[in-house]
Amino acid sequence: MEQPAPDTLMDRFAAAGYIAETELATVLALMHRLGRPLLVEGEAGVGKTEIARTLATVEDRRLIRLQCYEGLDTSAAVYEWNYSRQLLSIRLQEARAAEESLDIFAPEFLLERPLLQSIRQPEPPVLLIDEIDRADEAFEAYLLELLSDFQVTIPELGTIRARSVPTVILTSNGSRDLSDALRRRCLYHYLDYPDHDRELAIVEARLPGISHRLADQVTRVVQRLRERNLAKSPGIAEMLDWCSALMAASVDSLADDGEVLAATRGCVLKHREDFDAVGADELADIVRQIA
Amino acid sequence: MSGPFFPAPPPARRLLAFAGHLRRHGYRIGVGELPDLFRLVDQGVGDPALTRRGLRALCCRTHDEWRDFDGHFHRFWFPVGNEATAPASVQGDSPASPGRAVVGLAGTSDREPDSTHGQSHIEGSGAGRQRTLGKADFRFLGDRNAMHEVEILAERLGQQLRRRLGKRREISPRGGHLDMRRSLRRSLATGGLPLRLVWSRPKPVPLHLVILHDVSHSMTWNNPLLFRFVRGLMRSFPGSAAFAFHTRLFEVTPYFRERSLERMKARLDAGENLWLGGTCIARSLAEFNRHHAGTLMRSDSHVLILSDGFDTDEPEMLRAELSRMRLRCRQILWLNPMLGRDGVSLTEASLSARLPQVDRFLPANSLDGLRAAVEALSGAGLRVGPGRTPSAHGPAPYRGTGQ
Repeated sequence: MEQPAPDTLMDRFAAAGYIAETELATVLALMHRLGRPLLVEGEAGVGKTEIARTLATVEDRRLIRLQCYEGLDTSAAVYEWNYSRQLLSIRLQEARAAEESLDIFAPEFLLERPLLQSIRQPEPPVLLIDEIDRADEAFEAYLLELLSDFQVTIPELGTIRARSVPTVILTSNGSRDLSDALRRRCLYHYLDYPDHDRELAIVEARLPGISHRLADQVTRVVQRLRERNLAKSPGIAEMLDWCSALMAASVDSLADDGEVLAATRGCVLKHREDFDAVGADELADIVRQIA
Repeated sequence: MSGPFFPAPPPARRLLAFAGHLRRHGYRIGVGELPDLFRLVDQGVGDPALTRRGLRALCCRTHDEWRDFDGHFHRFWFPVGNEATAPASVQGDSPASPGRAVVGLAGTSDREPDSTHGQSHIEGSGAGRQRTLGKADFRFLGDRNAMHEVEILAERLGQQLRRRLGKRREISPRGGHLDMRRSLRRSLATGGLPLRLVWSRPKPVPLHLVILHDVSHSMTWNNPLLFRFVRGLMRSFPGSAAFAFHTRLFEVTPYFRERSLERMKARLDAGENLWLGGTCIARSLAEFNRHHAGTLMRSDSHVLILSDGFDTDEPEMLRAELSRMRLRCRQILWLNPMLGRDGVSLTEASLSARLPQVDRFLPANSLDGLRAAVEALSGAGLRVGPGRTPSAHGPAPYRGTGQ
């Protein structure tokens, strides 16, 4: 597989609309070089999931996503037997009165779920295991075999080794501590909120029609909001939503229309206490301060 | 900084020493990571950014480690101009002599300590060092490295409790209860044949802790470590509540919700109410009973009081407030840093005689003491809630909690 240099990756990501910092590009290059999974932690809305999507896009590879949740088990994540098909086959066998035995635990009765799919692809895909911290600890332990040896053990079939080794990216919002065993198998990167310049570049890359002045003002306001002790700091996706809303309302400068500014603040303030704490007056103050 | 980090590959010995340096600062670098470290350094020669960032991605497991890595890297590889003049394998990170660091409310700082404290220097390495640190009295952790290590270990101890409780449950092919409703529903997909049974297992109820932490002046030397211990507990059992008190009580639960240790420390240090002063334990408990117990306490709550017991209030008032508290909770554990300390005649028996409302008095002057507290709490075990959660993995019988 091609092992691009960090600079090349940064350029390709930028062309795909993801403004990656040097640090991230280096870790992605290293992930290719060492063949290790990457664990990305960071606040919600900083662009963790987007890394995998963009990587799949720029490298023209298939993206297989596993969204984790509490109670996720192997039947939803790895494989499941097609019980209906097994049953039908048994009845068909009975009807034919065939003498040869039927193996109902054969590969044709196997339903592949994302993890098994990812190691059975002819070309290596990008496997995104999203929000691993939402999954149970037991599932996390199950992942260890896949992440270290890229194989899955199915009791009835045996061990299935990877046809091609996927590029694995795990994301976590840090809602619970992950096990040391899982962390040990991964490279680690912490994705923080971007600084103003990078955030401005992200807005202009994602929303080509936005005026530079509006983009600059929105990013500065959002940066100020993140300094406040909010229940949920606005992420990049929320900021882009806000920009889109302001563009739809034909706002060219935040200083022009305080009412629209206040009315659309729900795009970035998603908790009632935050919504109440940052009202129209506070927003106007922030806009005055950044002017 | 200009020029490559490594003009030539560093000797393997130095790279191993760097790994050791990181380990001493709490980084968990196993044998499995070492070959990749060597590969990376070999390939990264002449590419300083790739090398440093690559080492960071390989060696770090958490955000705190990730954030601190650059400092460790520069201190180790470029000691000139940094605090340390030699790697920590040779001498401590800080140029200050042992015993010159002081502990603040929430963490270690560089201020000059009271000269009567911190005269000893914790030495050793590996498992032996861990044992030494485990027994070391928190008062005598003058060495910044040792203090840092013990802070990390104290937090891990708090987190261990969840794992210990988790281990009390096991998957077993026998026993348990069949969930008939779900099994029948699932059998619809297989023409009514119950090929896949659904078993139910006892629904675990995580421990509910209420932590009351004395932050008065007499507890200064213990607090950074106890705060880390409490942080470990609070992160493991997020539904729990924590309060600090000296002459009055204030809630600190939100501080422990901070994912970043540094932010938690900053918030604790910046807290307007968190100044050190005298101690009014009884009045603080009364405030808790009056304003918080009604909403926070449950019949299965475990109350942890972390205090040395120096109180300016009347003992009778303390007994009365503890009695009120005891009526609402499952047990009260009192972690006392004075217990088990050399030259102090206090014993658990003598304290229990004075305050029979407290279920157990435990030492909190060392990691071993905190470990005993974790054991006492894990002995409380998981309880079975009113409901049962379905499990597709087979029955998992609930095993006795020893209560």
